[in-house]
Amino acid sequence: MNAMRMVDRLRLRLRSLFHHDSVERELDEEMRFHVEELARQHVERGLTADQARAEALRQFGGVAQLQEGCRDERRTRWVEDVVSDARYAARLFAKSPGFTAVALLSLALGIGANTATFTLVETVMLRELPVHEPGALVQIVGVIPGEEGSQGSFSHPNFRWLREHAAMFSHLFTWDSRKLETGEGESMEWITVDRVSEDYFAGLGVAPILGRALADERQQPAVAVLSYGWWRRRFHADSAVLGQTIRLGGLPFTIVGVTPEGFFGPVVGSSPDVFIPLASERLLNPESEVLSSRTTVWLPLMARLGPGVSMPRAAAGLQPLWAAMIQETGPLDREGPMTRWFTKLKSQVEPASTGVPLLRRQFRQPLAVLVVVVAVVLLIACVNLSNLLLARSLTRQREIALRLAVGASRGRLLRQMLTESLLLAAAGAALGLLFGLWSSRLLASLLSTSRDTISLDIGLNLTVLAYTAFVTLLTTLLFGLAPALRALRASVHPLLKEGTLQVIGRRISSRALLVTQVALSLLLVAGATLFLRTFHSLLSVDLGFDADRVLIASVEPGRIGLKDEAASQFYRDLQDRLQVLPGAESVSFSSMTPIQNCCWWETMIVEGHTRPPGDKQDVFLNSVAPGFFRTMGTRLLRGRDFDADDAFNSRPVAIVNESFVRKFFPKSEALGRIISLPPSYELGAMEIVGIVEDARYIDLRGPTRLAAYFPLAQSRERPSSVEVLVRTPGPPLALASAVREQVHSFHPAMPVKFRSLAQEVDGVLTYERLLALLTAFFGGVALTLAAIGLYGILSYAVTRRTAEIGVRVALGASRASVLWLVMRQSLMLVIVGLAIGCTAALYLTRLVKPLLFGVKPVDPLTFAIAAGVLGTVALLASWLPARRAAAVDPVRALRYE
Amino acid sequence: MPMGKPSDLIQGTLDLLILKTISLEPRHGWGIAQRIQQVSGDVLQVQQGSLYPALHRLEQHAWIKCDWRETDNNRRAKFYSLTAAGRRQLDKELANWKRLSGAVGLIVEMV
Repeated sequence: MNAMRMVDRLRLRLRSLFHHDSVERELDEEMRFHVEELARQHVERGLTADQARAEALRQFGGVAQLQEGCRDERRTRWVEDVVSDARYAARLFAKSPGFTAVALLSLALGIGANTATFTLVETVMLRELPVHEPGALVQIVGVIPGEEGSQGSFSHPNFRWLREHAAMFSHLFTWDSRKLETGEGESMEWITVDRVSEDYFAGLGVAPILGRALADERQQPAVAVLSYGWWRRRFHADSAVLGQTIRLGGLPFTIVGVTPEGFFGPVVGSSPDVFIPLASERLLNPESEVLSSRTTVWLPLMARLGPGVSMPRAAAGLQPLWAAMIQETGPLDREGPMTRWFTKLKSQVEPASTGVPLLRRQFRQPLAVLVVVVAVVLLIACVNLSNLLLARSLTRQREIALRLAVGASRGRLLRQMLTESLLLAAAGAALGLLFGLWSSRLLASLLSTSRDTISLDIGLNLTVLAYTAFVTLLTTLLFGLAPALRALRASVHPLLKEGTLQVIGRRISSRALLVTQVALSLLLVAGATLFLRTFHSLLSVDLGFDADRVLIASVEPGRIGLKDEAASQFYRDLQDRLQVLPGAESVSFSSMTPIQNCCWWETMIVEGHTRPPGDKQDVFLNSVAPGFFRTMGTRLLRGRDFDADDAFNSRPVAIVNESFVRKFFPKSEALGRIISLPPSYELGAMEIVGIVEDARYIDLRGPTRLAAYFPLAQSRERPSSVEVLVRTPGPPLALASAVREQVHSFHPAMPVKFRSLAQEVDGVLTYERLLALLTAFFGGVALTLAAIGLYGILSYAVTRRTAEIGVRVALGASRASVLWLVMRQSLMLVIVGLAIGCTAALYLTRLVKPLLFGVKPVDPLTFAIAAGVLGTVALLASWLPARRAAAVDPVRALRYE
Repeated sequence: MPMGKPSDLIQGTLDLLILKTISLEPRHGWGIAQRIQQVSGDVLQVQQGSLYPALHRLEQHAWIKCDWRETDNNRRAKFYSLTAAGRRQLDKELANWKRLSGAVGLIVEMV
C-alpha cells in the first residue's frame, strides 16, 4: 500500500469520525436521489406521482437498515459505537445520581486503597535502586544453619579483610548512618550523615552531578559529598558550594561533590543528607576504638559482582574465605561467647538489586495484612456494585427486550453494558488514582517514627498506572459481567407482552451476593477489632515507668574531647544547674533510655548461685545517676537509691529489679548479696543495695527482663554520651531550649538533641497504630457498603412487592406482620453471611497471630463485637425499607400496577 | 449484523462490476445500478441493500472517490469515479475474474 492511499484512507476515517453528521447527511441525500430516480422511472411507465413514490419506497426497502449497512462498511464503526455507548451510559448515570455517587465512591475507595498499597509495595519491595546496574549488587550476611534470621553487621576488621581477599567482587563496600550536628547554638541542626567506605560510590556506580565522589580518603578524611536534596535546601543548589567548608560534629569538612537527584544510598527509606568517609571516625571520635575493634559488629557488607561472576559462583567462592576471615579477624578472646557464636556463622550471598531490607523486615507483615485488607475492600465494593447493577438490570429488562426485538444482537448489547461498567470503573479509577496517590504519601509519612524518619520516593509511575489499569479491568469484569449476562438472558416475548415491570427468575444470585458481602465485611470488622484491641492492650501495658512529661536530652561530651574526670564534673555541674531550673521537677542521667535507645546485656555472675548449663541468664543493664528512678517514675520497692556517696572509688553497688530477685533469690534476702559483671568490666563485686519494680526495657510485648542498674559515677568505661532526663509538670519539649541554654553555658559546642520519653514509647507502636487505624477505617468502609447494599436491595424488593403488600394489608395484615415480612428476608441473609464470615475468620485470623498482643486470634469477644456491630448496621439498613413497606397504602398500592 | 437481502451476484463480483461500470465515466449510485442492469440485459439486478454498502466499502479502500455534480436533469447527485489505486484494483479483479470464469468454463465443458 503506498503512502498516498494510506493518507487517503486516514482522511476518510477521520472524516467519518469527526464529520459524522455531514457524512450521514450525504448518505441521506444519496438515498433520496435514488428513490426519486426510481419514482421518476415509475412515472414514465404511467403511474401517478403518489403511486410512483410509494412504489419506489417499497422497492427501495428499509432505509434505516441500508444506512446501517453503509455504516458497517466504514472502518470507524467500533469507535462510533463505543462513543455512543459511553454517551448513552453517561446519560443513564446522570439520571440516577444517588446510585452513581455510591458506585463511584466505593470504586474510588476500593481502587484507590489498592493503588496506595501497591505503590508502597512497589516502592519498598519491588523497585530497583536508582544506581548503575542494580542487578549486580549483592549483600553478604551470616547465617547459622537451622536457625532463623541472619546476621547483617560485621566488624571493621572483618570488612577490611574481606575487601582485601574477595576477588569475585569488583567492589566490596560498607557504610554507617548516624545523626551529626551541624551549626551551633540555636541554629544547630541534626542531619543524617552516611559514613562510607572507599568503594561505596564506585560500587554503586553513582557519578556526582557536581565535583567528585568519595574514593579512598583515608589520608584526608575531612571531606564531604552533599546529597542533592540537602544541597538544594541548605545551599539553594549553588554550584559555588565546592571547596566550601561545613561543620559536622564540630569539625570542618570540605565539600567536594553533590550526588544526583533521587540517590539515597542502598537503604530503602533512608535519606542521608551528607556523605563523609568512614575514616572520619578517627577525627570525630579520637578516643574510639571502633575501627579496630574485633567485637563491635556494626557494618553491613555490600558488593558488586565482578564481570561474568554469577551469584552462586560468588557464594561458593566466599565459603572458604569466610572461615579464614573469622580466623584472622574474629574476636581475640578464643573462648568467649562471641567467638563461639561467630564461628557458627556461614556466609550467604543475597541479591540486593532492590536495596538493603532495613525497612522491609519490620514492614513486611503489616504490609501483607494491608494488601489482603484492601483486596477484600475492593471485592466488597465489586459485590456491592454488582448487586446494585443487578437490581438496575432487572428494571432495564424492558428496554433490553425492546432492543433485542428490533434486531440488536446480544453481543452488541453485552458490549454496551460492559461499556457502561467500564465507564463507571474508569471514572472510579481516575478518582481512585488521585485518592491512592494522596493516601500513599500519607501512609509513607505515617511510617516514620520519632527515631527513624522514613523517606520514600512515592509518585505516579508506569508500574503503578499499569497496576491500577489492571485492577480496574478486573473490577469491571467482576462487577459488570454477571448483571449484564443476566439481563441478556431475558427472553423477548413475555416482557413485551406485559405492560408493567416484570421480574424474571428467582433472585438467587442477588441473595448470594448479599451473603458474600456480609461475610467479607465480617472478616474486615473482626480483623479491625483484633488490631484495635491489640493496640489498646499495648497502650495499657504497665511500663514500670511514667512516660508522660519526661524530656530526654542526649549530650555527647566525648565529641568535644571532654573525658574522665572532666566529663564527670560536667555531669555534676549540669545536674546542679538543671535541678534549680524552673519547670524541672527532677533530673537524672543514664547511659540508656528504655525502648528505643537500648540495649546492653551481659551474663552476670551471682554469688551463691550456680548457672545451670544452657541457661543464658542474660541481664539487661543500665548505668544511671542518683534520682533516675524518681525521674522515670519507677518505684523503689526496697533498699535505697544511688546517692552522691556512690562515687568512682567507693564500694561498687547495684540495684536490681523484681524479676532479677525472683530468678536468683526466690526464697532468700536479695539486699546485701554480691553480683558481678565479667572481668573485662574491671568493676569487681557489687553489693545489691536496692530493688525496683520491673520496667519495660526493649519492647512492650516480650516478657519482662532481668535488669540491673549501676551508678554512672562508678563506671570504668566512661560513655562518650549520656542521656539527660528531666521530669517536668508541663509539655516536656517546651523545656528543651532552657536545657540547651544550660548545656551551652558550659560548653557552647556541645552536641545536644532532644526528644520526649513518650515519643520513644510511641515510636514502637507505629506499626500497631497504623494497622489499627487502617483496618478500622476499612472496616468502617465495609460496614457502610454493607448497609448501602442491604438498603438498596431491600428498597428495590419493597418497591417490587408494593402490590403484593397492598393486597396483604387490604386483606387485614397488620403493620407489624408486614414489617416482619420484609425484615425476615434480610435477617436470614445477614445470619447466613455472619455464620460464613465467622467460619472464614476463624481460619484467617490465625495468620495474623504474630501481630496480635493481649488478644487471641480466636477471641469470642472480638467475634461477638464484630458480628454485633455488623448485625446492628444491617438491621438498621433493612429497617428503613421495611418501615416504608409497612406504611404502604393499600388503595394506592393496588392502583400502582 | 445481517442486513438486506442476499446478493444475487456471486460473492465478490459486485465490486468488480462497480469498478468496471465507472471505469469509463463517473456515475452516481442510481446510474451504476441502471447501467449494470441494462448492459447485462436485465439478468443482473443490483439490490440497493448491497450497492450502497459496497460503494462505501470501495470508498474506504480508496479505490473510488466521489464528488457532488449536477445530473443531466439538473439534480445534485454523488458521482463515483475510479482512483489510480482503483484502476489497479480493477485490473487485478479482471484478471482474477478471467481466471475464475475460464476455470469454471473448463469444468462445465468437461463434465
